[in-house]
Amino acid sequence: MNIDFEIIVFYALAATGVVSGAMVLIARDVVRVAFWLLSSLSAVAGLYLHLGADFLGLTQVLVYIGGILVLILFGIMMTQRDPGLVKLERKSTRSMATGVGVSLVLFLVLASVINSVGWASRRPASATPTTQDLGTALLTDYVLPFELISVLLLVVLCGAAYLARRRVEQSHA
Amino acid sequence: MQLTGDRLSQIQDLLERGMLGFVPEIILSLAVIALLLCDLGRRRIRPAVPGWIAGLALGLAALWIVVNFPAGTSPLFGWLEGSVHKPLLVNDPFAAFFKLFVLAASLVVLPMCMQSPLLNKRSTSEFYALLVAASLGMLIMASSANLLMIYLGIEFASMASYLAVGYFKQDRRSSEAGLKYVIYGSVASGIMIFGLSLVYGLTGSLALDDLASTVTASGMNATALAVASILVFAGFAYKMAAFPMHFWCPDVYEGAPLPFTAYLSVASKAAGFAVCIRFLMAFGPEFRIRFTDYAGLPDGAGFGWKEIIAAASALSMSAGNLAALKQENIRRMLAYSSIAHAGYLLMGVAVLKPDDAGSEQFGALLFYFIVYFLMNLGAFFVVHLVTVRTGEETIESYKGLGRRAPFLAVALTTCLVSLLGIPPTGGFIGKLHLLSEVVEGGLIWLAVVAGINTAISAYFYFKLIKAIHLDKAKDESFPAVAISNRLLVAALVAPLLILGIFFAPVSEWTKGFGL
Repeated sequence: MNIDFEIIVFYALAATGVVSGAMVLIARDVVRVAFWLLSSLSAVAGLYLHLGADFLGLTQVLVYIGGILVLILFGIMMTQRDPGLVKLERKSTRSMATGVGVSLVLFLVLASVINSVGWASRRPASATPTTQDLGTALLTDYVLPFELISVLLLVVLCGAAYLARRRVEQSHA
Repeated sequence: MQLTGDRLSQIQDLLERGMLGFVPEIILSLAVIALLLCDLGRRRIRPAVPGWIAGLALGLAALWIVVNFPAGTSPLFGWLEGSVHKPLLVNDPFAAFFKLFVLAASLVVLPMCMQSPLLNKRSTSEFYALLVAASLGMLIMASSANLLMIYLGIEFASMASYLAVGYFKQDRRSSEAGLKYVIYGSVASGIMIFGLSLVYGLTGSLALDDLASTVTASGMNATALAVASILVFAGFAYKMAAFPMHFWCPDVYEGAPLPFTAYLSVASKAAGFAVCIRFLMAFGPEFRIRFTDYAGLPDGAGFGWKEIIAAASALSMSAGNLAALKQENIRRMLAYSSIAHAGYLLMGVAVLKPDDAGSEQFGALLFYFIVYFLMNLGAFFVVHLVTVRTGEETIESYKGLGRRAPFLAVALTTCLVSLLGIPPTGGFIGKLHLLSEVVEGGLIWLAVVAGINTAISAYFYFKLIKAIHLDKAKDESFPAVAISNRLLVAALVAPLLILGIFFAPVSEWTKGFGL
């Protein structure tokens, strides 16, 4: 009974993720796209939690839903007078057909390959909090990537600030 | 999980030993921070200062590698599993070669940056910070021995490159190029990380050593691993600008600041090859997908990574050379030429063998890298000098350059002849070495394709050479070129001619950098 429940939860989350992911592509109103993205990202966060990755799941909620998605909505709100008017252009049937065809072939190849492998399951028997282990790993075995990412973030932050900066130099000079 | 004293001292030991092999990267990180801070003072610094800071750091890093050239393989960082060291990075002659290659390319590009009128208007320390950061990412790529570090190195180099490509935000072409580069790059890195996750799932480890040991293990699903690796290869091909991930290349090369175009075409490509070769060598030569497992085909029918790389090579050179035929903009032409060269270089990758058995093949490939460095940077340097003076990039505007600026014209002609691969230039010797290794490696059809491609490419290289020397210019005047620039161009072009005749010591020397 227990296992059945888990499977039901998994398929519910997976279906939500896939359907809302498809809707992100199909929907034409940017605000609606943002909300479908919300649903898709939440489903992925749910999958992480379902697999016992509690820290990852909550980070997904904090960063993607709490940060990036809110930023997208604010961006639309600030830049458009009427958010309802932001419509994406419909693609031509030919490019749609090509896209669907390519994705379908890729999907079939990947699905058949992934299905053919007996994946080693590394799922922990009991759900223990992972935060402490993650912290230890980041500051011991993985301290190098951790530090490198901090340099990368510094560079990207300054570069993004440069690109976003208006031209004030002229008025100064 | 509590850290006991034993494990703590172990970690400390690994970190301390790793730091010694990591000095060049540390120098570059400090330079990035210094470049970002140097603009903060109350007094404006002179526009040349950031360039000199970057040059000093890059030079110091290169000098450190030359002085402490690794004799063997030393693993850096990572952790111990039992008594086995699982490194994040490795310091070996192969990595050192590519690190020096990247650093040398950025040092050649620096004077171009400092002369570029658009980069010289006011203090532009951010641009130099991005250049140094991109080099740092490429050093990581060259030495990574772990799937996580491969991904991180590629992302590091890419992120800095995206920003540098779109640096002229008032220029529509630059912004467009930056955006295209980001979009293509995100797709490529998305495909690659999906492939990496599959590889991780199949092997259960991020270390490349473990990949090597699981590949040959029985019960390994070779097809799944091959599909995952092809997805990973998409990310590498994007950095090398090889088929099928080359579509970004002409637009980005055309729109990016010209010095950065030169940098991308040489350093970024080399770093992509370095990481790709290390990944492929982990598979070993035996890795094959046997068709016998399916549909009862005859025994022995199948393919390995050699065939996949050979196909990518043939398609890259054909796609690059055919598209270069009708280009009117010199930067786009050189972009397609660099795609074709990714194909020639991949041809050398297809016949690589690990260990001592492959020193000949590695020698041929790395020799071609040195030649490519000289001829491509030489060509871009001349294009830069001409563009700065005339403001034009069309092949039309190169008409009569032979009379207007004989020195630049001869230098550019030498580079183009070398890119085409005709004696007496290094390009000919390099291509000859590569082709003989390819034929010896059993890929005769690929050598034939390369020969046909060389013939095709003669058309567009000679079209430019004809414009330079035979056509008449509308305006015969040309501003003078400073002696320092002439010396720099000569420093790139003269070795090209020397390598065309007196190549034996260098081609012997490059044999020592195999994996």
